[in-house]
Amino acid sequence: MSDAVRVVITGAGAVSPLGRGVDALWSGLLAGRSGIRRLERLDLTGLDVDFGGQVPNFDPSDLLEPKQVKRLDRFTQLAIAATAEALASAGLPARFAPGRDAEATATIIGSGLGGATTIFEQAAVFATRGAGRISPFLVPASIGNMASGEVAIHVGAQGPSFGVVSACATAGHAIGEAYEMIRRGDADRALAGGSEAALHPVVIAGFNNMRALSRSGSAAAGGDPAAASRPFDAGRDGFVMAEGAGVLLLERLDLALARGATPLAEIVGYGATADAQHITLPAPGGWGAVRAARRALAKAGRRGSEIDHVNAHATSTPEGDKAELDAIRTILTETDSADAARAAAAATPLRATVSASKGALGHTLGAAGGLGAIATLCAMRDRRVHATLNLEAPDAAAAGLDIVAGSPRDQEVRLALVNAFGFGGQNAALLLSRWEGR
Amino acid sequence: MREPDHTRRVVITGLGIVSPIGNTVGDVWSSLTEGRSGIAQITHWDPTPYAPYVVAGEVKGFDASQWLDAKQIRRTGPEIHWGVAAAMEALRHSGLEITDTNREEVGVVFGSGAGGQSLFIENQMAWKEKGSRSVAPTFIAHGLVDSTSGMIAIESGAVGHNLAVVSACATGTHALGEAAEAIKRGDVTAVIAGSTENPLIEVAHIGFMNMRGLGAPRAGEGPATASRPYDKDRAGFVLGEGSGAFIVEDLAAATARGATIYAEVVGYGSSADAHDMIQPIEGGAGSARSIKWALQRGKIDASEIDLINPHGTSTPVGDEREALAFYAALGQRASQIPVSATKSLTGHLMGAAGAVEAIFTTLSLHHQTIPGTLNTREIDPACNLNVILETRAAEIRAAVSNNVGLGGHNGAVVLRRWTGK
Repeated sequence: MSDAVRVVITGAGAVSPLGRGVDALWSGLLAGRSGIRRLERLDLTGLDVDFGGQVPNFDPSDLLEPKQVKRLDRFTQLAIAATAEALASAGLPARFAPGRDAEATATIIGSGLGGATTIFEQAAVFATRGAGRISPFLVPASIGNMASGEVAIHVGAQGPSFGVVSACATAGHAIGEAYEMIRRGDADRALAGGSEAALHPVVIAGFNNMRALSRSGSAAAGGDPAAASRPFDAGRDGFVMAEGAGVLLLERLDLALARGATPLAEIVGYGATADAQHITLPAPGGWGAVRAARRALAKAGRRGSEIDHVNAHATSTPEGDKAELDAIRTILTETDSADAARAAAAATPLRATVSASKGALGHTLGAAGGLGAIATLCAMRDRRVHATLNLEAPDAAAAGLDIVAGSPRDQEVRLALVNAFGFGGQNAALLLSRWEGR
Repeated sequence: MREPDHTRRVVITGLGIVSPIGNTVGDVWSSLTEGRSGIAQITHWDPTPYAPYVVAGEVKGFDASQWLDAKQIRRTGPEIHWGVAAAMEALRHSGLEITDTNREEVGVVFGSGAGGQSLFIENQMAWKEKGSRSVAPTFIAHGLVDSTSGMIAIESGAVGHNLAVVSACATGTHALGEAAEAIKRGDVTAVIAGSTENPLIEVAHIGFMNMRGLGAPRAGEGPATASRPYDKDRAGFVLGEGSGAFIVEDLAAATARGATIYAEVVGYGSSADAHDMIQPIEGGAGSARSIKWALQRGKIDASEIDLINPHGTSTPVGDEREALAFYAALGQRASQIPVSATKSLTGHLMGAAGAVEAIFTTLSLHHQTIPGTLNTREIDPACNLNVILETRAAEIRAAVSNNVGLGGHNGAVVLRRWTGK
């Protein structure tokens, strides 16, 4: 069967608050640029938050007809833009001709909130203008599978197709499931990742009222939006909501090499677990995250101590970051409890570095794992890891961990862990190995 | 966690359901075999402004407090209530106990087409009418399509692999198929799989109506006549609500604990039309591909298929193209294979359709009985399928449960009768 199948990443596409394209993302992360700004056009009356991470000046007219732009929810448009870049960077045509190539291409792109904005808009239309004005595209435009469905239509991919959803871990799971799909022989390649475009006042109000969002960047607080997302910093006070899309082109190694493609990295492991504890809070000690990473390591036949770099989920919430710090330390030290990990890390300094991309990007929810994976690919390629923006005074809970702060650092990243965790206690871990030519 | 072994066999050892035709497996089987429709005039809100589109398959007599506490019920939508109920019932039905020693080996793959859409709409109205402070702090965490999957893990204690699969109206099919794959690849030994849907929201109903997707009762006849798959005068689908859940399990583990096995999941195929957001592709080519792949991967010959539970939503174009897909995938024998189009009784449960219909298929295999298709009087010659109108006993070796989702997602699972080996 397919046990020996190896899966590599040969293309990547990003749309993020730092702009359109992987280059905009990576150069922004290296330069310490923030994508977080005041949200000018949204009615945020009565909320403690007036900022977020919008994709600046997103214009999909090079890819979509005006009619399509009107019909498709923004999350689908962002996914199509990221996909186009992923295909181009993989050296593949923008569209698969019908036949073997099309049928062997899977589309597994998820979204945490899907077309929530479309639902809000149409509910408002119903309330104010009546049933006759409800769009016939309300349902198809809003459902969370439509990024996968429309990407399949756009590029002519006829292989396995669905969305994977696990709240903020969505892209991590989507990439992992696509990797498994290729390993088992159901597809030769896959467009996989996540997309999110839910910067709507009702969503912001929901997170705001949950006290999950950072308020420190608000004008009322006299704050700077760009300084609000501070993963692992002692002064962090919540996440900053953002939008974006991250899509990877995964491919069977032998087929990638046969067509002369250069892999960016190999996916060597994927693990998924549930906390089964609480709908919003992480398990103590980040235990669900530890188990996810260990599943990924077991698949790869690798050890926690071999990890060179971690792209952390790190949303800048007090509880979430703390649990992840415990988890990362436990994974790297190969110990069985947060306390044992602390002791081990105090005794022997840890070699791995940790970066949190959300300091610059904010939290792109269902797209986060995809953008985190792309930042990791760039770090492998450039032998350079980016700093965690706004990390000035690390939380005491970070003791023993080498979190990159201030400026980027040169580093050989051979084996990296990408974390993605979601509400509901869903955890995904991806293990990426730099492509060394064999 | 174990090594991947794609020859590993996966079986269904438990079923749970909340549906328009009953909330227990026993009741549902009686309704199916006795032709009791779950379609009636909508009661959730006044449907009369939308005449003749006034009927649907609502869940009846469901008590969420059997499954969740008052606070959980208040914070969550019906899709979570039904999903948790179906999942916990499937667990009980299977006899599988989740303990500290096996919980890492039990996963949850539970989908929904639109998740907690009702919470989104309620909170949008609250925001509009009473301001941003009245938006519920809990609505997002409970309103996502994976919220049910997370809640089932919390209620059952299953801490393995956990995610939601979404593919619109093929969601349940994909969830079942992906659950089986998670077992084959060694991530878990058992999965609570399924899907749930709460589509009977006024604005969504209107959306479907304006999409020209909905059907109405036959002129001068009762609500039950609205859904008539493959009939010459079919005119659209009827919404239904509910949830279906399975315990799927590694055969070796199921056998070792002496579990009752209801059917084997032998094949699963997923494909994209890559054609249109709403209409299926000409000739049903996408659906044909997923059925063919399900057969190929299950190493099962088309000649063994003795039953089809089709998507069969009762739309003019959808039913005809699906019939063509059966011919393309199964050959000329497609004209002979019995078709049991159960949406005639339940309506279209959207994301939950694939799950409840795979349950119906499992029960058909287990009881060696084909439930009749209600309402269909004259089979459309353009479909030319052997649509079974009266329930009857039959030898069923293997069956296909087929679904198609908006966006062009196709899913098919092949289930085989369990004969003890």
